[in-house]
Amino acid sequence: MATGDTLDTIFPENNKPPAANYATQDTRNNHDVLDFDAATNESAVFKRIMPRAYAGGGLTVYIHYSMTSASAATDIDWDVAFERIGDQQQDVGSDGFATVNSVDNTTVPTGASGLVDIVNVTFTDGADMDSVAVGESYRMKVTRDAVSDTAAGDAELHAIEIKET
Amino acid sequence: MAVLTDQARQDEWAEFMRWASSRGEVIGGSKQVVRQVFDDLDDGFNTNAATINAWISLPGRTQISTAHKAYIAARVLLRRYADGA
Repeated sequence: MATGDTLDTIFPENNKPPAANYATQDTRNNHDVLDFDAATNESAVFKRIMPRAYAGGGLTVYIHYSMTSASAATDIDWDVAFERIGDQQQDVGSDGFATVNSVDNTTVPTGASGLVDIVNVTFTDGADMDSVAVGESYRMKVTRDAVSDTAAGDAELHAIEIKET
Repeated sequence: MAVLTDQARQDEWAEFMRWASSRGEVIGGSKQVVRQVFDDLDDGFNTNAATINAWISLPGRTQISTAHKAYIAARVLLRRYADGA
């Protein structure tokens, strides 16, 4: 596998929510989604294993989301962070997420509530993605930066694709 | 009564957006615009509380508690401007 290939696909049912300020499970027309609040920064956490096909490059995380209530030309901010668990790398008794990378000020779809938009957050190989290596387990935290964005109402996370950049 | 605290306004604003999203209702405006509506209405009620109370004729003005008058006002507002309007 090489640059541009999909490494992983992640869906709402894969979420292991944090203890507080977690995105909540919901459905919309029988689509599983995670609802992210408009007033409080909420997160979802996904534990995965970096596939053997990973060739050691950077990552691009694609977030597929829609809005429940936003209509006007408003924007949404997303943060993504990685935590390498690895082989004796992370004491899982505590969290060790690296600094977040963000995609900010994306104008939400206004044509119709329920249109799914896809945005992406990029990570370079190394500390940026907490140095996750092939075959290692890791966690990825996705947060809506609701304190900073302007879109009203819930954001609905539908899916995530991780691609080797 | 003084204006609501900033935290109270924040809580009501957040709850309103959750309520709208739970009903799948589209909100026309940014969340900052929505928050300004809460601020303006609370300021308006604070400034005009005596005037609004004077709309109620006696003896209701004095016999009905402030809380019950608030509930009645809310029901009138919802019937006029929200439910089936």
